[in-house]
Amino acid sequence: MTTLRFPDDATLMAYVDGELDEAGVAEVDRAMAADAEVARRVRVLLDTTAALRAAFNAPLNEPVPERLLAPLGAQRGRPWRAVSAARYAAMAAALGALVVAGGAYYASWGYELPYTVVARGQGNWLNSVANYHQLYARTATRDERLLVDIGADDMAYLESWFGKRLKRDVRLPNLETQGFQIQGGRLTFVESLPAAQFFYKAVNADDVVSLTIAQTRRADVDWTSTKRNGLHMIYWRRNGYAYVFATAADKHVLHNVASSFEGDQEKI
Amino acid sequence: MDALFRSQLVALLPRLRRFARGLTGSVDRADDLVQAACERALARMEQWTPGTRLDSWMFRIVRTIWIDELRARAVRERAHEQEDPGERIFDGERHMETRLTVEAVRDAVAHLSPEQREILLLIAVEGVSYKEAAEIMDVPIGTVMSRLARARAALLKHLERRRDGDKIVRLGQ
Repeated sequence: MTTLRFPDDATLMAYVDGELDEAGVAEVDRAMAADAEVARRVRVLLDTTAALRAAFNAPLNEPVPERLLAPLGAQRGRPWRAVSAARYAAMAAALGALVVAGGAYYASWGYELPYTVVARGQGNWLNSVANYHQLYARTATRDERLLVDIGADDMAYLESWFGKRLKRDVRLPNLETQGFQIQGGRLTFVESLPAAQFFYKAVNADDVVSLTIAQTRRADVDWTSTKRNGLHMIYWRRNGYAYVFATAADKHVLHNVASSFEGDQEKI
Repeated sequence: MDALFRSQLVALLPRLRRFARGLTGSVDRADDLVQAACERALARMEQWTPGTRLDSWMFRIVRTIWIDELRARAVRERAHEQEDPGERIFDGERHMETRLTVEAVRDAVAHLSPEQREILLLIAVEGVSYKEAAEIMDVPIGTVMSRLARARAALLKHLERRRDGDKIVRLGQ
């Protein structure tokens, strides 16, 4: 006899793939907080997805061969950027959780993973980030300059200023090749810890993408896609810092922006 | 139109190469596939409507050409084709653990059926929505979901088998 369980696997897959509406996301969040087994099933899906991306992302960092560019009338404009050992180390960390794990595969979601599930209250810090993002995005249409503490006129100063407050080096990604220009950053607090929220605006549209770098006491977590307060969000946490990309625009915009930084702290 | 189309296509090339490499499991075959897809896209440029998703349109072309190639290959030869050992992306003992783990995932994906491979690549790697995946693959959205669930389960099973079968299980323990 088959036993029905909630949330079912299809719902959890949809949660991980960013297919649920906000009510659905909240329902799964509640289920994860209440039931460690649900949280574990979600982690399996998240870890699998993170591992897949890490395993196949190499072409994003490789030069495109001339034989593909030439027919399109393009030349190689981006120099070869060797993939660093640190990037591979980050990939190893992501993959290690999945591949090196102990335990037996005994059912669809029976793959054991060596992590501690931190599900309760997971949404609160993300909601803070989402609220700050929306505050900026709403007001930006009136006068965006009012809302950034430090403008992007002097990037070195911008990075240095926030670096001091976050107690780390800050190297902001250049998203111009993806159609977004940095506007500046604001200092805020998430869970009583300093956080910097940087805003990028689409060159040819009103879309806004924010990148939040926040100190955090929460456990490390791999690249995760979710939806909060109408925003698509991709976040990960590593070594005491949380990174969140957010936008109200199409989630693919966000995915493309974030995927090139996945697992690579050297870039930020 | 022509210049805009070409520039957008150039910007898409890294993602197309990623998708194609996941499908084929080979650097060279993936680039052959992308090249063929670009040629077809240029020949049928007028069929793409500006303002619509060029990436979905291109994924569909890549997929169609790949399926044609698989069918042709099945007719030509039934034997399993070995991967080109020269395409490994890690070298040296220093990165051995990483290389193995990356290889484990890539190897597991390579052992999936073509249908399972493409659905995982589209949704988990490329991040397309279920609806868009359904359009790209020309199947109902319910089929996308069931195929995706089977693909994920099969992936875990392959990883588990590999872990039990070789030295990966001992890494980090």
